[in-house]
Amino acid sequence: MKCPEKTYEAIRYLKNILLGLLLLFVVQTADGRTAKEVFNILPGNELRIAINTGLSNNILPPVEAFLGAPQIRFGDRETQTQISFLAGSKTLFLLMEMTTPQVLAGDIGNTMPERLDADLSQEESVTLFFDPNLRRRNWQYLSINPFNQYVDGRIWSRNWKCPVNSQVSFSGNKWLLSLGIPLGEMAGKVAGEYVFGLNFRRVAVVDGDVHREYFRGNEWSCQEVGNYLPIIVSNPLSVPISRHGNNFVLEDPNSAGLAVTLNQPSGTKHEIVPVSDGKAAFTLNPASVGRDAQLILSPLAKSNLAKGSRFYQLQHYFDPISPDWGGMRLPARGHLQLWSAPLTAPIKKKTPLPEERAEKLVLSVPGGGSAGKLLMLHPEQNWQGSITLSDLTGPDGYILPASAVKLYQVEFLSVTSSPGGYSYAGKWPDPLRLYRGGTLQLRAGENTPVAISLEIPRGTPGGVYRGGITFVSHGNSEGDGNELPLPMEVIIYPYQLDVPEKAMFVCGLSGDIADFQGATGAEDLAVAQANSFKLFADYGVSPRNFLLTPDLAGEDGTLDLTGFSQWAERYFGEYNFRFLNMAELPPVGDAEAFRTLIAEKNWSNFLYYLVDRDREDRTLSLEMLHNRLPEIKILRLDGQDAPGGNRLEFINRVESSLSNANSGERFCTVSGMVRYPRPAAAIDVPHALILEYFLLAEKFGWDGLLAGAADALGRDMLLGRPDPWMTPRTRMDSGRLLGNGENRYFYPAIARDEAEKFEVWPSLRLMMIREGVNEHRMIAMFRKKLNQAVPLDSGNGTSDPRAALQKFLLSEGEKLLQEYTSGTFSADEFVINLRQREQWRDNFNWLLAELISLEQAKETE
Amino acid sequence: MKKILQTVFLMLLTIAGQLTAEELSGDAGTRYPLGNNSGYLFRMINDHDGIELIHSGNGKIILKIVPWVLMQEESGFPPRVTYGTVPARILSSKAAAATGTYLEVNLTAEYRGSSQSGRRNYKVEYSILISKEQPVALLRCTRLIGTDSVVPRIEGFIWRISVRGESPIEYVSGKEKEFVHCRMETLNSFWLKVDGNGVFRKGEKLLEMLLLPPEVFYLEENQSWEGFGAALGIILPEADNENVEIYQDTLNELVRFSRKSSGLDTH
Repeated sequence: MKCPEKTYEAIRYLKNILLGLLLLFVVQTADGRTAKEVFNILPGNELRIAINTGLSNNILPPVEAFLGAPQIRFGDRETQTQISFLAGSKTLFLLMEMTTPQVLAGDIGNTMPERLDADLSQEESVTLFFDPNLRRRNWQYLSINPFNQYVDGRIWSRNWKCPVNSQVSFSGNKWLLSLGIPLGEMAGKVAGEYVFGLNFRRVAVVDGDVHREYFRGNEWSCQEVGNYLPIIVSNPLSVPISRHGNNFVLEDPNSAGLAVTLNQPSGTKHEIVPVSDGKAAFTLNPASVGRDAQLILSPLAKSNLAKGSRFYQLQHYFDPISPDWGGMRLPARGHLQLWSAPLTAPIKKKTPLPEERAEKLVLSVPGGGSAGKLLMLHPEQNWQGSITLSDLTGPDGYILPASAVKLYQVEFLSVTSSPGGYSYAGKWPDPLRLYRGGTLQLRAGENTPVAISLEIPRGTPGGVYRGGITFVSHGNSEGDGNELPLPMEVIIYPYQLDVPEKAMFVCGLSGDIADFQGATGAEDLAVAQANSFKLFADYGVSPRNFLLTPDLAGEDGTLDLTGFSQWAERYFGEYNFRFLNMAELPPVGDAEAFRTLIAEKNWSNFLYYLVDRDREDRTLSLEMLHNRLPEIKILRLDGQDAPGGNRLEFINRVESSLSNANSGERFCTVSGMVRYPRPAAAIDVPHALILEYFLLAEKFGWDGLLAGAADALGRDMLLGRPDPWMTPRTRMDSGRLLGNGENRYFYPAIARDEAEKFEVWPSLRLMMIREGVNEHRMIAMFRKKLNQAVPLDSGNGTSDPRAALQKFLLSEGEKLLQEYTSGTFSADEFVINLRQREQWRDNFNWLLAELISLEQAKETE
Repeated sequence: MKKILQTVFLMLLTIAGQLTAEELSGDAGTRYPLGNNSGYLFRMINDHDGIELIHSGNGKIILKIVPWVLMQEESGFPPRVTYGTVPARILSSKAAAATGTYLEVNLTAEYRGSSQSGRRNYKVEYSILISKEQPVALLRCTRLIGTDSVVPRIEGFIWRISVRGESPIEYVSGKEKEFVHCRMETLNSFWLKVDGNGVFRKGEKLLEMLLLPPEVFYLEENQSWEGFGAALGIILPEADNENVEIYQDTLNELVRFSRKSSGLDTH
């Protein structure tokens, strides 16, 4: 390859020399174990119930006694549940008032309590869930109906015989339940107090339908600690405990000490901190805290009576990205500090500026590939202005137009919810807003990330392309219209990336975003779908569950072969999709002609039939399809309860696998509910983890990855489709919560006009998926070379130095692959070193370029 | 003389017949015959790791059935997940109930070893119902008891059946089909049946039924868990091609009795 650029020649020369050395001695300089540990300590909103020693522990207090007592309520007006609490020294008393839509009929109330062995979850009833000591381990339940019949148990077994004292009465459309439960049944004492978790489920029958509500959460899991209301029953005197970071201080000379209880899934630890000089100070050691622990601090009174504790929830977050993640400080432009970072870096608004410096912004990418990088704008004073891009000039005066480079403003979303230990509160970057010019308003002292995206057309010659980014200041102290240029270089590796032969990342389309945007009717949906397809195509992702439209069937119900052909040309050709799920396609009519068509066009590679275990009823049509089109690959979703208990193996970390019944292909499904040390697709974990999927795919020989959907929002029982800009948490349509941003890689555009109404915006995670797909394309190319390499030996017995180099490159490539599949590019299996990963990609690109140039040189001989 | 010998022989047969209906005790554990002429005995020996099915003639072991518990623990920082499966050895066995048609034997077994992550001590109580008439038996775990100060999360209960001799086991998923079919030379065939959700795993000479609890739970010290999962039915037909459905009624009866006896059914 001819490369007149001196710099590029020098780079290439150096690369050739250094390549072997670099490859042989993998850089292992970073100490991965210095990764950050972050703890959020959230005050737990507990309900305090003061012990009233004047109450009898055996007699239910009269209704009037509950006046002014602590109270909670939930549910809508028609089915409201209101609960008041009182406590004797040994008994918890509850007065529960249940509103019903209709007046209850039958012989309710005023009966003796009766234990049943029945299921009350389908009839008017109320259930109390207890978590003894708030350990989020085993829970107990007690359900009572208006006939004073009750069911109690521990988890699913009915082996908790709770000594309940209960009374039911009713008036109009309300039933009143008065309940006394011995405190000792629910919790052991913590420093003289009773601490336990409580939740309630109300079942009401509304218009013949069973209607369920929980005090916390629409869909409730008994082992999610965040769903419990922590209840503390204690002496009413309380002593404040102050907190500064991880330090907690009790200032009370009358206390005997500070009782510390740390509840974790792995166990409970108690510690008593003695009072000295009127203070008891406790420092939390982050290393001793697992995820989602609870900390209960209770002053110990000298009289051995508790004086009110403080309840904290500890959320533990371990940053799996090595601090050496490859940030580069760029020359400042006026008050504007600039720096760059890998796309996968865990950037937040307050991430400090890196120390390592570079003179220019550099991106590298092979021909036919794409790349991304983050450029961080960090003004010292509030700044406003715009950004312009110049064309990039390459070897032999080749111009890469500015339009090949796209700039996106990275938006942040607020994550607030943290049940289940799958979320980390804070502002996390994800949605990408295409920058189309216009004024940017930047806040002083904050990082404003701009994602740079490059799409290099196939055939673009290799070399260094130079240009620049210019920041134009508007109305700042340094003057209006000041132009502040930053040099930018794009290194295009001298080879062309192959077009992928099969799907590497497949996503479903749920249509939720289109629905949220108000799409109605076929026309709207067609526009919305076209927008989504455009994004899929741009980001190297294939739609998973696209179904052939009825339009492709002719009037007589047979397949419109011409229509299908035109459609498929666009689908597989223009969009370059590599996956077509045949689930709903019965190729009635001339099946033979259909087979001939897909064979001729070589589309059979992309035809799949997805069989979900939950939908085995499709077996019939599967057989039918298979008989008609034996070429179709069958992907059978084994699901989580796959035989052999895949919970035992690593694979449970990615939920489930797909194995192909007839061609041995394996796909793996991805989920956002899984955290480190294995990857997650949620927005509130460092985005680098998405790339881990591709490492795993390579490691376990998966052919591709499947994600549920790219546009899922789900449905909230009360609010309908949730707005992803407001609530990043995805739901299922049944209301069940998923991870933040799970099954959603698109965002509904904030439309400027009617034309943009159904636009969708990409996300950082989608850009990262593209990066992973590109890596996979590189690796697929190398594997092909490895398997099919024609020895460059001249064959006449003389040794050809090129043959030795080819052999060397292939063996070094294998070593690089080994490094890739080992996962994290760092000495610590839990810590990912992004800088090393970038270096790896660069090395692999150069290796591939060298290998191809060797073969090309041989061919031209 | 011939007449006397015939009478003695008949008497001996009668005594043998009575004996087969009772338990056969001896040094080598307690034995209970399966059915009235299956040719197999269940043998339970204290401190052995499970119930054995032996050939009544030569005492050869045909099957061994061992209860295991699948545990999970997270430890360390960052947390690492450890899974462990732990077998229980028989502590005691005792015939608990008998009717004219079946016999119930209650067993207590325990794991008492070094307490490690994912391998914690526990005790398990289970029962086997053995039909006196037909080659049908039913196993059910009745209670799991924590005996370790460290609390593991219980992921499942496993019946692990090791098969002696040649035993190509045909795998059938527990959910889709109820039978697991096993052919071997020493035994015509045997069938396993589950009355609820079960998952089978096939090893070379190993068959596992993994019972998943409806919700995972933590086995706290001195706490017990009841109503754990489905029962495992074992049918040993006399002939290789015998239709095992004819034993269905017997199995159903054992399932009903077992549910009542373990307190799952109160009606």
